[in-house]
Amino acid sequence: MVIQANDLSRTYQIRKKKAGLPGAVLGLFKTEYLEKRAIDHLSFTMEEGEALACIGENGAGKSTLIKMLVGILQPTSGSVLVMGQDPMKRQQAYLRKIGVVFGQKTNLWLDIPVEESYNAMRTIYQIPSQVFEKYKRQIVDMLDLGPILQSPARKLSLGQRMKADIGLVLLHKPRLLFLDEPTIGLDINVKHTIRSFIRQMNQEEGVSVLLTSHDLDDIEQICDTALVLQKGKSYYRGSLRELKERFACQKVITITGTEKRNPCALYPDLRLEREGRKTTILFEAHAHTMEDVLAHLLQCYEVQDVSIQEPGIDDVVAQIFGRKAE
Amino acid sequence: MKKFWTLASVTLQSALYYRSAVMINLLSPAVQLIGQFLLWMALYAQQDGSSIQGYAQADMMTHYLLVFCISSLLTWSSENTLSREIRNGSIVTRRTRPVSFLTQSLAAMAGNMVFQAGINLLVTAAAFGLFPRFFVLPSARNLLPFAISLILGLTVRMMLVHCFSLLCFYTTGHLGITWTRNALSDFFSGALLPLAMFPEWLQRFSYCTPFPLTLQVPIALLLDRPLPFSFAQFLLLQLLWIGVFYLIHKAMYRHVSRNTTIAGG
Amino acid sequence: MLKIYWMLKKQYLKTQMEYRLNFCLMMIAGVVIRTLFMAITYIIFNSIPSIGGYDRNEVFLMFALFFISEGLGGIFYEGLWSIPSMAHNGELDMMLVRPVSPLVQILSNGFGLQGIGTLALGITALLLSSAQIAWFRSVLYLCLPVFILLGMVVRLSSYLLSASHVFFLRVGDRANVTYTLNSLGGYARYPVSIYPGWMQAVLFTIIPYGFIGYLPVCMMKNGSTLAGMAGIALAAGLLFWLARTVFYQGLKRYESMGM
Repeated sequence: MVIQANDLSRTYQIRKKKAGLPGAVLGLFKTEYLEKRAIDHLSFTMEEGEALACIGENGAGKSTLIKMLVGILQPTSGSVLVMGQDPMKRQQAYLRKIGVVFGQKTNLWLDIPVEESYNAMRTIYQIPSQVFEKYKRQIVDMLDLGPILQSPARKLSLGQRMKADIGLVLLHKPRLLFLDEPTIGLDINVKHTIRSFIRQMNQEEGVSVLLTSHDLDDIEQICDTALVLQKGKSYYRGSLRELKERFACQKVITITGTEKRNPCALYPDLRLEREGRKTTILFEAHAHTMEDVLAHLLQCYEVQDVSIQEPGIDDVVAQIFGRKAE
Repeated sequence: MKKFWTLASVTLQSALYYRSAVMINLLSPAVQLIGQFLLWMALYAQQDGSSIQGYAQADMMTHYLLVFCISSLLTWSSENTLSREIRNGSIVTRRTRPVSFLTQSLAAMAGNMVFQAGINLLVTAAAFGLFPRFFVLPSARNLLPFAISLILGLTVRMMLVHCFSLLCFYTTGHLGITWTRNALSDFFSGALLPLAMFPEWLQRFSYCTPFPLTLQVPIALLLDRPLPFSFAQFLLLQLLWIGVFYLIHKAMYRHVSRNTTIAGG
Repeated sequence: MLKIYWMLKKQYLKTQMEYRLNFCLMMIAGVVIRTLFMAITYIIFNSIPSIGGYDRNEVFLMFALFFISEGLGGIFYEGLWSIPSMAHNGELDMMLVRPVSPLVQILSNGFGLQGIGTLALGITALLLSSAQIAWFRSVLYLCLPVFILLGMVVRLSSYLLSASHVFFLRVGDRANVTYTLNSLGGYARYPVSIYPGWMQAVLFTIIPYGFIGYLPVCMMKNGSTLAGMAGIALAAGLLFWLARTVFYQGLKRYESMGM
């Protein structure tokens, strides 16, 4: 087990702000505090080589969880072991085995060229020269960092900086990678590069990945397993596919063609929406398998075109948190 | 005018959010004041209390008390805001607001000033009230010329600060510029030492700069200290410098508006 | 550990030097500020023969020691000033994740350019004033580096201690506590003996700048140079231990509060 969390809790104290100028002056004399429970008695484990997605709404405690796992935030109660060690101890041997990327903050030194930040890693993580040079070149190629190597990090666009950050954190070949909103604010090309790169690290090098993201495509493309947090508690812990099957509302098949027989005769719970020559058939995911319904529909229609829609993680999340899917 | 006060109020609110910060920002100039008091008390004690260059101990203490009262009105953080916004590009928000650029800048500074002014007034009044034998009490008839000179002097100072902040559009060396400007301002405005104690040639040079108009002149008017020019002449000088800075602002702003490229992100 | 420090320092200097105008301006600022300060003192000495029993040159020697340690401090540990802002914007978090002592990272973080100007000014003032002091024997020149080094340790401890306020006091990024304490300590440029007892205590304990310029000159003038060195060394050691302890305690608190 690479992560073992036991009954982990974390509460914050937040000051209550009052509006307006009189409120601001009043705030000088009296402070009121609100207690916010970010993580509430959470227990879970993660295996080596897993690509785990941590899913939850805004403020559900995802960033808090990562900070506790990395060792920069003290849990209010409970314990956690990462690679067999207490992360709060921040032992050098432990820190050398992990890599952390916070989407909003950067790992790079802002005012020195990116290449120099990279070279600094060699000394800091005690990587042997030859190994380092080879690996550095690999990463620079894979992430296409050549053009920005000489710029100070401050001058980079967000996308370039994130790529450089991801490359930086992998230079020392960590066994466990924490990613907190790594693709926030990036354009689609950069997102794709980063996602496939991380996926490659996980599949080929066996790097364990713990990812939190609002971008559900990140999750779909990188991770296999999920931990769903709701109000700081574990709502679901298991495979991503099972999550989709369990919580997704509907599967959708769209058929273009003329109807020969009413499909509802055999499957009364199918819902149909007709629009010209297109008919959209919706049904509960747990009620029937895709194969059965599809086979039946092919019998009922003169099919010219078929498209299938499996539930996406968006639907799942919407379902879990009770919002309408976009 | 209403917009001015709204903007000023917003700045004030954000300044008040952190209680301890408010305390420390209040204390900081007071701390420097105490340091000055201690220094001069020690110096005069060596002299057995006789005057130094026409300044008795009470005169000197009062001078520094008033320096504290006035010069701490424009704190570091309020000056910094404009330059910071220029450097990180958020200055665009200012330019899209339906309020003149200059007004926004002055409003922000005024907002920060109000609270500090209130506290400074309290401290000064307390000093005069509780320790009258240490200070020279100003006579009431000087209050009006003092007030006029002070308001104009503060305006001169705010305009000066604003124009210097605009330099941030041209160079990244703003920190060095600000520090140098502050040092020169402190020196020539009488904040570090009453100008009357300077050698003749240095005094003449100082009065050619706008700096004494922001501090030394109002103080001298309040305390009946001798000045090289009359009240009316100084008034004109202050207005002149305000005009000069206004023209500088206009020229720089026009140039900046035409040539600005906000750093890409 | 040391290798990392030097490597990062070099990098910062290289980057700073690319902005040549800024480089010059900062150096000029450092020199101008302190020159004006010395000018004020010079003017005061036009009317007063001595301050606390020290004449103009002796006081300038105190200033020189003060400026030199200030300049070197800027060069070697400017990063301490940014501790409060790093705690607020999350940069501190990233430091804690690297397998390097956070203190070393902070010290290597940045290069105070104005320190170069200040250092130059300080050395100039040192040479000029010491040449004019009657009791300043040549052998004392050997003692000066020791006093300067000790002064740097004292200064480092003081900066670290005051910067650690961010872990214990909720001030946001609106107030510069470190700066306030530093400016109070500036009064220790003058002979500390002129101040009332309680102020002297402050300038030797809370803001221990009295050890930087005043005490060395006082001891040298009285002939007890070696005793002075020992005493200051002891004080410097204690202060450093205190500052380091408070800093690490502060970090623990930071982790438990989660700013």
